Amino acid sequence: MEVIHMIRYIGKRTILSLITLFIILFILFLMLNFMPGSPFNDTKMSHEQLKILYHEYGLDRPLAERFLIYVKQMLTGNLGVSYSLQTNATVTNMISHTLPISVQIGLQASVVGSLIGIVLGFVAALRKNSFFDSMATGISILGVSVPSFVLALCFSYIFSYKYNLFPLLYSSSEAFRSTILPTLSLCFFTLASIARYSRSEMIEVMEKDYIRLADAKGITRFQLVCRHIIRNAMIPIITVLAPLTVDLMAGSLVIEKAFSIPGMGSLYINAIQANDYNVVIGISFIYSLMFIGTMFFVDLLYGLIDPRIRIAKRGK
Amino acid sequence: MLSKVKKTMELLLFSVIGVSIILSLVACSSSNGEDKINSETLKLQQPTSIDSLDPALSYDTSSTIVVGNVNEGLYTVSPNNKPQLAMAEKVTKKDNGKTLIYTIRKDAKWSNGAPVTASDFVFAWRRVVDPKLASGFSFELSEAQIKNADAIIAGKKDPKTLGVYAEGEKTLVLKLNRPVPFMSSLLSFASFAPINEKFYKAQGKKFSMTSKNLIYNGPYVIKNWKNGDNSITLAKNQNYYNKKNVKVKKIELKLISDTQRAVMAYKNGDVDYAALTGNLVNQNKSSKDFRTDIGAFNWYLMFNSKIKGLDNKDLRKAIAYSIDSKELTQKILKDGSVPAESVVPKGFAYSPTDHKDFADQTNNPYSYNPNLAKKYWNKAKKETNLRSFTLIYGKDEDNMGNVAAYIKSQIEKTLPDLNVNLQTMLKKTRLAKMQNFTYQVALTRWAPDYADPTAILSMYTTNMVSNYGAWSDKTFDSLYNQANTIFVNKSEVRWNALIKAENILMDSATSVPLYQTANAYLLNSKVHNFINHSCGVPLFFKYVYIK
Repeated sequence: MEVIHMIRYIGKRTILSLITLFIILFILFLMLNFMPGSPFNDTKMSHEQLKILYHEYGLDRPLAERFLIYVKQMLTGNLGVSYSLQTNATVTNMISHTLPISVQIGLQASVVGSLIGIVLGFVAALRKNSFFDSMATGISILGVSVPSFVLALCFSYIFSYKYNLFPLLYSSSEAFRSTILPTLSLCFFTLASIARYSRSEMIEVMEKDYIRLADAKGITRFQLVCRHIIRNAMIPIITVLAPLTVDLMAGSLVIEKAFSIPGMGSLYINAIQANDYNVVIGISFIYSLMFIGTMFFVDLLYGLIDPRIRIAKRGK
Repeated sequence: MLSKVKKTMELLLFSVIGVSIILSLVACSSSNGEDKINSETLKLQQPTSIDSLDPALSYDTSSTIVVGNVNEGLYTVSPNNKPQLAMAEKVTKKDNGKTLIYTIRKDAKWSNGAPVTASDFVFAWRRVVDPKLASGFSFELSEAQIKNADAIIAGKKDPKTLGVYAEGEKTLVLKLNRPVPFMSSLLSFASFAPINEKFYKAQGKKFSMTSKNLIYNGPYVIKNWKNGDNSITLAKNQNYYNKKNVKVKKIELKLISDTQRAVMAYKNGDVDYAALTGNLVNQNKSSKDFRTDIGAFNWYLMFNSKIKGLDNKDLRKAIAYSIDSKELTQKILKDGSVPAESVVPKGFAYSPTDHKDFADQTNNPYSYNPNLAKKYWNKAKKETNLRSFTLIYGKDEDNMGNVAAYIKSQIEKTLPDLNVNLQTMLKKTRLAKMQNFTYQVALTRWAPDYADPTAILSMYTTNMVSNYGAWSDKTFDSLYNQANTIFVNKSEVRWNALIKAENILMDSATSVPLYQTANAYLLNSKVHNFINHSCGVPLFFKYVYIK
């Protein structure tokens, strides 16, 4: 019975996600249509040439027709070609070339940031008002307030320029080593946010009546923390962590620019500036897909972590 | 509670001090990269990524540099900035310069061993003018006056009718509408490179997408590159006819778009060349590796004459006299830029008789003069009701925010009744607004494509697509046309006609030149013959050596 409920729930969420994606795609199409300027390197092109190019790429057709053609092509995995950034290169190729490195660095930053952040926040909560708590709060404030590009500059100076421990710029021949400094620069914000959030969540949970009851029942402190406090405090943390992770995976323009990483973040910004419509739509679509997919996954994860949510869903 | 806050604040303070110390150390760091250089590899910063390696579609500077060094056309440019025969070993003129016959070098080969033939040029040039490709370089074949180029570009004739033919394997014949004095400079540009038809057809849509989908006839070949990579490596072409004179075996171009990071990479020895912009120019001026060359283009104010009020010459002159370009370059920009004294930039077009710079021979009426500005403004106020205008500029263009703010303050200070509104936008939007004449005044620039004043003056002729000011003057048009027709074989008369045309243009103040950019950069002192060219392909590596 529970499985049927689960399948129905997944099906409902999948349809909702697809509708959301379709709406996002349409809004994007609409917005790009009203953007001034053309997607071509047209400084020295005649009006006739621009006309030919618009016709060649189907940009002279009505918006609705273009949208339908795009959706049809997209279903077959064709996201069109780049008009100016990498003239005539397929967007699918461009994304498949830049996405892996952005996802890798984003995931690394997310894992490092959230693990350290959770540990820092939990220990600070357990040792509330101690020196360690003050230190954790200090790190959190610093992590939130110092922008990643400042950290990137500091890390590069110390670890690359001064001591030559890591490459200053991304190099495919030293792929993993090249990602360490970008990961560290990126993870601080996540680390700080998660540390602050997990500390306050832990403190809140620790003051709940059921924790007092469990404590009164005489279970060990270790069991109390692991079985009751952490489990309950994790749900809101996951809610915050999921969009943070997607944000990191979509690529950070600043970090990619700083370390010359051929990632999706810098490609996205360049595409927006160049009016390269297909690239903008393609990346936005992938970003939305990642975001919606992650939120969907998180929703399912809630059920696994907290039986109360499962029961509530079943009730509905 | 108070002690906790105190502790937190202490921690925060120490952290901020720590970050500040590190940042100041970064700013004060000294050079240590020179020792890493070897005589066989040159590593350069490349500020933008490659947009295309197709000679007909590679528009940005980074792509042009690569395409211009792995391909070679009939001409190249010598270290002293003069066109020099390259794939052609001989040129013969006929019909008073209207027929040009080029003999292709016997030893010219593609990197796959195939000979470079006259047909390779015919195929490549027909492709550039083919409306289906809509190459942004097709106008160059039009400027070269190659027969039927205009009609083909407009879709009225077949590309096969282009006035370029192969007579046998090594003879290329060019039929022109009229002789072109700057032909050799024009032909040294990357878009005139040959393409091997057989190889091109075998690649289909994959042509130029990776280094494997290209063959090369220039001094270098590309190694292991695919679209989107953040670095590109050029290696000496073993089939190049003049390979013994190519000194540097490997060129590595690394994409570093952040200038500060580029300086760090330079000082670290990761690159031997780093371009400088903004404040970094001033900060690095004392370095022994600091170099500066005059840039290829002027920034100027363009007035849309279609707007009532802006068509008033006195108003435009009042604005021109109220801007202090000297102060703008020395106090605002501080990057080596110099005040522009003419519409045609300095250092790229020289008189064919006495080799004087064109820019030095024309009138420069607009040095800063608030009294004259007020005089013209008082005159203009009687003729027009315009009391405010909007100045548009690109937010993604270097320093334009500061330049626009300075211009606004200068005009409003000198001409109190005139109000300047600033509007920022992407460069693409600025261009679109200019092309559609939906702007009032714009901060813009124009880079010449060949070493002749007409490369700039042409855009002010009536009905020219790039005449964004919609300005028109019959005498100017007539002088321009004469320079390109009846005076074409009389170099001195032609030169003087162009000077007169420029003086008319300057007097009209339809565009007010502000400053000429500079190329400031750090270059390892062991690198020699590294010359920035003011038009066409900016850098040729075949002359560079490291010692």
